This record gives sequence, C-alpha cells and structure tokens, in this order.
Amino acid sequence: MQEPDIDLLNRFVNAYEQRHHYPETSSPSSRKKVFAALEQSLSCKLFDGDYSNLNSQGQLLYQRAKQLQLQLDNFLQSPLEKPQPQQIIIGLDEFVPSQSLLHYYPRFISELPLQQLKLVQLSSAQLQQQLCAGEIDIALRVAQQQKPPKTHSRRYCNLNLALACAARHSLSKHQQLCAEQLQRHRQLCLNHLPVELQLNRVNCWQLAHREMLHDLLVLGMGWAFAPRHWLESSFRNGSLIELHLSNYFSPTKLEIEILWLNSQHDSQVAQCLNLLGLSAYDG
Amino acid sequence: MMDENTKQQALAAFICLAKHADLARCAAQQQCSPQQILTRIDALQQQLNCTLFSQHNPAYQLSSAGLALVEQAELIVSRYQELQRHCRHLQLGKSLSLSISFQAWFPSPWLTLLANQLQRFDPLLELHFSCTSQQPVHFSFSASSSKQQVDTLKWKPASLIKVAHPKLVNHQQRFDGHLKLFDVREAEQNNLFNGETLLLDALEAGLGWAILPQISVESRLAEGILKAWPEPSGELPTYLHLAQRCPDDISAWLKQQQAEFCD
Repeated sequence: MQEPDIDLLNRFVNAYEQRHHYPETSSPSSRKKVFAALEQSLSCKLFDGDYSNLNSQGQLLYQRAKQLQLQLDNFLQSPLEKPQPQQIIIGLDEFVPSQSLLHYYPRFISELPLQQLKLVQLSSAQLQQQLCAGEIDIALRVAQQQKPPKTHSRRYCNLNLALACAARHSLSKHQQLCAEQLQRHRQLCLNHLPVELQLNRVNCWQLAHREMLHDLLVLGMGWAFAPRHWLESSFRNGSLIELHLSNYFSPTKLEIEILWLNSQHDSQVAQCLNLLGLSAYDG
Repeated sequence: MMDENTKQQALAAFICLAKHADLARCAAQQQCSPQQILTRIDALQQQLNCTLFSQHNPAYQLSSAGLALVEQAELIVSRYQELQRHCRHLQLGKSLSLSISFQAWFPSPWLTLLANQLQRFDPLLELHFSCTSQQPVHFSFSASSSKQQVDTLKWKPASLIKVAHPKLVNHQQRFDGHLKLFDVREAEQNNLFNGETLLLDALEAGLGWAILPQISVESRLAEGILKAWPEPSGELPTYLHLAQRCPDDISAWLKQQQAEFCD
C-alpha cells in the first residue's frame, strides 16, 4: 500500500482553505488537481461532486491534517517568537494552608495556560514589601487590621485554631484551664502569630517554622496556639493533647486574607484570584 | 498600704494555705509562725476588701472570692520568682535571650534539639529563631560569612537523599529530570515552590522530587508519607557562625557542644 504523502496532505489543507480566499493565491484548477491527486492516492472520495465541499469522510481527514499542521507550526516556532510564559507569583506566609493550595495546583496550571505559577513563602514584612514593589502578584497572609496602601483584600479562608501541649506537659493534667495557669508556662509561637494570641509576653519562644513548633511542642517545651490541621495527626497518635481555656475569650479561628494591588489589571491574575477562591480550605 | 515584699509574702501565704488548708503546715513551709501567716492573710483581705477563706467548718476552705483570685495569685508568685531568677542572672552576667538564625533548609530537627539542650542549660533563656538576617548565632551550609568578626566552626554534615511521594519512587519515571522540584545543593536557583514547609507539602502532594537533608524528612520517611531512592546523594557540610558579640557563656557552651559532635 502506498504511504500517505504528508506533503500532499499539507497542500490539501492549504488548497482547501484558499477556496474562498481573496485575492486568489491559487487557481481553482490547480486546487482541483491537488484534491484529485489526494483522492487518487487514498483511493477514496473526499468531496461532493465538483470539489467545492468536503464530504463527511473528507471533513474528518481535513480536521486531522489541520490539527497536525497547527501543532507542527507551534512546535517549529522559534523560541524567540513564542510568547514568553508569564509568571504569576503568589507569596504566602507560614500559616497559609499550602496543602490545599497545592492540591489545586494541577487545576491552576491547566486553567492558566502559558502561565508559570510560582509559590513563595515569605515573612510577613517581606510579603507586604514585595507586594507593594510588584515583585509578587498576590499575597496570602494572616489577616491584619492594617492593610498595605493601594491594595484590595478579601477573605481567603478561616483556619480552626487549637490550643495544645504535649501529653506529658504538666498543663495536660487540667481539665479546664484559666489563662493565668497558661501564662505560667512557656508559649511557643510562630513569628507572625497575631498579637492577641500571644498570651505570654514574657516567657515565649519565637520560631520561624512550623516543623520546629510541632517538634518542640511534642518535646514538652511549652504550649502553643496553632492551626488545628497541623496538629491533628499528633492529637490522634496521642503525643499532643488539646487544652481548653475556661475564663478567657480566645479566637478559635484565624483568618487568612488575599491581597493584591489595586493597579493590578492582568486578566490572568484575575483568573488566578478566582481559582484561589475555589481552592480555599476552611478547616 | 503594703510594701512589695509584704505583698509577695501575703500572696505566698494565701496560696499555701489555700493549697493545704492547714495552718501549721503552711507556716512550716513559709518558715514563719502561724500567727504571721494569719496577719499576712488579714492584711491581704483588707487590701482586697474581701474574705478569702470561708468562716465555717472545715477551716481554711476558699471562699468564692478566694477561689476567683487564687489562680491570679499563683501566677503573680511564679512571675515574681521568675523575676528574681532573672535578676540573679543579670547579677551573674548570664544571658537571658538568644537570637539564632539559620539558612533556609538547615535541618529543623537539629535546631529543635539545640533548643531542647539550651533549655536544659538555662531554663530562663528566651529563644528567638529566625530565617532572615544573620544573628549572633547563625547556622548555614557555607563556611564563608557575610559579617566580620565571626568564628566559623564545623557542625555535623547533613547526608542528602532524593525523596518523593512513594508513587513516584515506586514507578520508573520517563521524564524524571522534569519532576525535580528542588536540590538543596543548588538552592539559589529559581524554584517553583520557594519555602521549606511549602516544598514539603508539594512533595507530599506528589508534584515531584527533591534532594534534601535526610534528617529534615526523617519523620515523613518513617510514616511512609515520602519515600527515598536507595542511592545516596552525598553530604553537605554545615557550619556554625559565632559572632563575637555572642554572649560568652552561650558561646562557650556552643563550642563545647560542637566539640562533642565532632568526636
């Protein structure tokens, strides 16, 4: 059997598309010649009657050949002519539930074609500074009263907080705790814990990183307020226990907010903001 | 008005009596006569304008007012003791707080261990860990230091492994190179996921592999959340940079720890 002639197929696609082209770049007779040659080489009918319209068989072949041509063109385009993939950079602080964000990562990259989505963990001060300088497009952080100038903000999600200490810590013997008892022991806090959750101002270790917070908690070095989902597995295996405060109102939720510059008009970033809404995780 | 000392004594007497409900025992513990205990508590009651213990039998049970105040009193007493220890530290010229910084990816279990040992060395020490600027005590992967007048000591070398979600390790990947998320040996490169806990989450989500210090992911390997390729990936030396402004007692202690590690 004769090998299908790729060049002929290519000419077929071009000729077919030139049917209604004005000014004409090829004569009707030369086009007919291509069509006839193709029909002959494939020994089948692709057109109805006078080569003006494709039949259903011809339509399918045209679509497939056209698709190949497009992909080949795309592929062969020199890298310089290709639009540079744009980068969207999302900055997060340590509290942002990155697990849920990453769970949605494949969806982000499939719905934001030609975008490179980059996630960066930064400290609270860096987040604000880099957002204002335009180095990051979107910032996710623990909600604060003070918003940076010229930015919009919106709620991203609420995180459930838990108050915890190690099972062998002396606090764990109390069914009900008052804030005073709590203040007699060291608090472990992550560097950007909101001030209203820093109950123990004089005996407090500041930590940069949630793994350390967890490990020091398990070692019984103190107690901590932390998002429940970080501690859940340790609650289950019994190395940490949850404490309940009786005489002090403490917020049980931590709000995470999305910030972006109000001068941000990029549609891709807007799309990304919408997708972020979908990935929000309340827990 | 009571002076500060009598206030403290009165609070201590109040707590002690509340705890034991036994005047003689309380007096023994406070090293004074029962009469003195009663005087102190009386003074406190006058100051607070309430009765702290119920007048009925059994004796020395807390009244409702006393119950409401006892926890606060305990806190004040322990704060007072802390303050005293604090002052003693100052007199002895010991340090009370320490800032420790570390380069990104310096294994956090080692820092946790250090915090644990420091707390045993001195329970009053306030620790502040940060990942940003160079503090008097700084841990990093490079022997050179950005600051002058810094002692650089070798710390334990970190052995490296290539890790990923078990599903990536168990099956042969055809485009393995493209799944690389991070290599701690070339940390400066542009990475899609920048940040330690973020990268660990990305690994758990199965988005690719990374070369990391083994100790940073040990617990995840043990739980089977991540899996390592059997081939070792070498070692990375780590260094401790001690600035000259680091307090002498801490600096001596750290050098002693370092000598133990190196043996």
